[in-house]
Amino acid sequence: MSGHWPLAPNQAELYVADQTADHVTAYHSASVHAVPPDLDPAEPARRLAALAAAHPLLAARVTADGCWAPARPPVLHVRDAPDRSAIRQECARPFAPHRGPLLRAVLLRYPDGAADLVLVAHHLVTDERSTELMARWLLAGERPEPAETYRRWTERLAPPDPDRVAAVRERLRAADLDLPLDWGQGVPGGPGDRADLRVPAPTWRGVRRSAAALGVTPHSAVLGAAALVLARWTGAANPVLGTNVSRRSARHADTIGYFGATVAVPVAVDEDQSLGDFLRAAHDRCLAAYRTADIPLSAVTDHAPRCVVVPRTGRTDVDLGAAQFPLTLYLGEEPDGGAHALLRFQTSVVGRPAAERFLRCLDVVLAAFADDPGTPTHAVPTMARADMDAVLASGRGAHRDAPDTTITELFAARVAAGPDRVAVTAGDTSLTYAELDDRSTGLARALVDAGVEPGTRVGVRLERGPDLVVALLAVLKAGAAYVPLDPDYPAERTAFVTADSGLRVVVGDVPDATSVPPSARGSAELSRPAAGDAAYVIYTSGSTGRPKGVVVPHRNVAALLAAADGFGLGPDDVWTLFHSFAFDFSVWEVWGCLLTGGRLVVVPHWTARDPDEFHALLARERVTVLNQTPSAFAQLDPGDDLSVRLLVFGGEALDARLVLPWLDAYPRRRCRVVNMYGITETTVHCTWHDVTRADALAGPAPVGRPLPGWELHVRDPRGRLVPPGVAGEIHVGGLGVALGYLHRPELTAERFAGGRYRSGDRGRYLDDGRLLHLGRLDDQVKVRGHRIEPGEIRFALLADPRVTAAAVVVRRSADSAAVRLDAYAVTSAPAPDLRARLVERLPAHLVPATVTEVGALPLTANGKLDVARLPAPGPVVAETAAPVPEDGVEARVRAIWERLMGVPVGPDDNFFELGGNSLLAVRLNAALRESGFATVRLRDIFRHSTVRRLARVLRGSAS
Amino acid sequence: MALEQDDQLRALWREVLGPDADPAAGFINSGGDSFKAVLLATRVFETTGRDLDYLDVLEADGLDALRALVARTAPRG
Repeated sequence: MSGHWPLAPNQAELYVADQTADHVTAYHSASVHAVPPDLDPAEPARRLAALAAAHPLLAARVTADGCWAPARPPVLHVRDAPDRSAIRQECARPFAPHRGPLLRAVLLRYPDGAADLVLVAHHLVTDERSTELMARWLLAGERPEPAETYRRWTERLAPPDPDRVAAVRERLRAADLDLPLDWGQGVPGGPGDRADLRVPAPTWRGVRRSAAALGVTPHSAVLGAAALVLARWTGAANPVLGTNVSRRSARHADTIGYFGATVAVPVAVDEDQSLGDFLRAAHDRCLAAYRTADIPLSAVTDHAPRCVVVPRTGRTDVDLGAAQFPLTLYLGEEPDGGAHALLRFQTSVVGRPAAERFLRCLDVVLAAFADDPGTPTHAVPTMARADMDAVLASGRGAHRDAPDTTITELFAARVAAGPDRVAVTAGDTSLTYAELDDRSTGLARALVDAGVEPGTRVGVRLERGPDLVVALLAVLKAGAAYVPLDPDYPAERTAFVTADSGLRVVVGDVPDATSVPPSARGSAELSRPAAGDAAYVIYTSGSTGRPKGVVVPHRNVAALLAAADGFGLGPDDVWTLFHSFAFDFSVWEVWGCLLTGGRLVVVPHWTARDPDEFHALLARERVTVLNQTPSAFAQLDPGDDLSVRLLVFGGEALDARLVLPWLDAYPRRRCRVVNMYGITETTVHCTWHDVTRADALAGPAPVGRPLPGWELHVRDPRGRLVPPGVAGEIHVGGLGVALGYLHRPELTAERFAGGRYRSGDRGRYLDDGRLLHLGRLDDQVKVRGHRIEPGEIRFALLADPRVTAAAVVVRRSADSAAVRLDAYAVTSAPAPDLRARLVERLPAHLVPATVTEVGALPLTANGKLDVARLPAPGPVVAETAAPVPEDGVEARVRAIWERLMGVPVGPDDNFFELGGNSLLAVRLNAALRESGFATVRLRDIFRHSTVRRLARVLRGSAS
Repeated sequence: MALEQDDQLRALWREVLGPDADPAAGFINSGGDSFKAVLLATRVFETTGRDLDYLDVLEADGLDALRALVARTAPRG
């Protein structure tokens, strides 16, 4: 019998995982035993030698082509150690599988005379039972009598039936294996950490009782509970978890070696089931998965499960080093009848707060199961009480009472405080507060004379100018709500809004309504509006296309003003009215200014569309408060001659990189930059965030914290609160919630249920309480199972210094099956290689089909990106469309593959689908090296698993 | 099955699952888990020389099922 024999399939899996991990992982198994202080090391040393002689695996090393070969045998080390911290050192000291041996025994002697024997082995050669057998032999001289050696067991293993393997692969492919971990808010760097949960005895007894009654093992119950938490956090309906199974049979009770295997368990999460039924189904999936232990994981999946649940017997397994999987949950029973859950997690993907929260949520599920398995799963709380309270509190802006005042009252106060101050400037014309007050009162009386009654709606259709501001104020003073009719609207839109809002009187000119000129003055009495009366109705189109009127009362606008008191707005400020008054950003521009005593500069239509003209106006008028959509801002050259002290972004997601040139020209002490997220249905703004240079470099800007008086919470599709990190729909409550949609009671009931507005936007909270806006819910598109985040693509484009603005369009083909990404970039210099750069930076599914350079991004009337007016994209660069003739490198690689696998291999055939597994991957690696590809590494085979892709990677290193 | 072996299996069932374990109740229903299944399979092997798959023991829905497993598994040295 030669001294060489191949790695067992499960050993190959472990070996490959060990070799391809990003961090040095510690696949160690250790046990520590107190020994008498006067222990003579000669005895255990002798036993150790006998142990290694009887079990050659313990004195072996792994060769380049995946075989065991003899190495130096382990010897007992004796160390004098100052204290027990040495134990950790000994356990953590890495093994070198290529040199061996993979077993280490160290006798530690402490100054106080005590001593410990530390036994550490690499998992390639041991499991819990093996470690126990070794310890018994070394310490007590109990020599195991194995029925069969490990080597013999390995050699007798039958390869699994290919049809079974294919069936398992299909089952996993249909499930959600690649669970997103973005909820984890990991921090790059750092191998791992641990968190603990103790389940008290009464709860655990309840779990055992409920489980036994259902025919479910406690381990299955815990795995099912973990699956439920992950399903809720990732939105995956069929999360795949992992678990470790032992392949050791009773006959091999005394055999020393590694008998473990990791199997994948797909769990179907249906929250309409009772908790008991759900866990029963999870248990059945576990049992089915246990029986696939003979199938190497690499043969059925592309990547390891994200979360593995491992049962423990509680015997010492000193925890050390990096975690093997992003989440490994060890569960063991305690002597007191409770249970201990140890979660080892990779901090680069899951941060400590998320890990601890995971355990608390697990506890909630287990407690519900112990209490009443008949509970519907959806009724099991999504968080522990304390976490729930924290989330509720964190989503509330500072408390504010609902104001009991109106726009007209607040305006009257400004008039009284400074009647001769200029209120509105438009070109050469200006109106003081007193003049604006007088004109608007006159017009209000005229409106009442024309038949306007309090509580009705009046249209305003005027060009930008002082008359426009007069008219808006006049309608309010008449006790009515203004309905903007932008003169730029096409006729059908004007007609629609007029009819839909039942307009009978309009300031300006509109067919089918009484026209009142802005210069009109009347004599009727005016009744004052109440705080709860509608102030304006602004129409939004939304994804369904049919516009709907959002009705906003006076008190909401008053609340918005009060919420912005942190900006220090006042009479010395100069604002621009840049946006169409049919876009609610204008509500902030007009009333934010006039209700704080500032001067409002009306920006003419064409000036707003000419960035240089606009810049000149900003400088000339010494504007201090500038409100912009990011798309419009991207076109503005900051210069250095502006007086802007407050720059507010709204209306679109902000790519913070855009702000860097501005921050260079106007540092923080000169100008404050604030990103605000808002929706028409919640009165212009709901959150605010100070944008810093650090933000600009980090990625898409957070939208920050709720405004005082506003509440924003992220909820799942069932309306339940989700914990920080988890993405869901943003719901807005508080003082900004509008009265509803005009004449659309069903839609209003649906979107404004419970006094909150469902935004249709996707978002997540960070642990520090800041909200991230992730785009529209219905823009959620997946390509090959991966969610598309256009923000990430834009961020990557903007990283190129030649790109000053970027947009990404997701297009579906007519049959909705194919999805295509097209990117557009505004470049300061020709950049034909933009797409090639993205290929290097982004994962494959995020690389757009085309990147088209444009001179500027087309904007809608509201200053947002106008997708419809983007040019058609350029031609798609065919990647692997045309069969490229095979070159020398590809031919060599393919020949090696074919020789190893014994089947014909095409250039795009996937290694694992051809029947490859970890052991073959190790062999392939060795064969490629022997053939002259000196730099090939095992992980290359896993990451580039076709001949063509592997050849591309190796081309540079060919010898 | 020999009466002696039958008694042995009953005794092992109780040894692993507890003296009050109802032989008519399933292994998991009686509080059994993977570890106990391994334990029972090991004890069965030690006593009868038959190497049962511990997963089958885990899924056994009662002592009768265990007997059936033993009956159809050939002993090995």
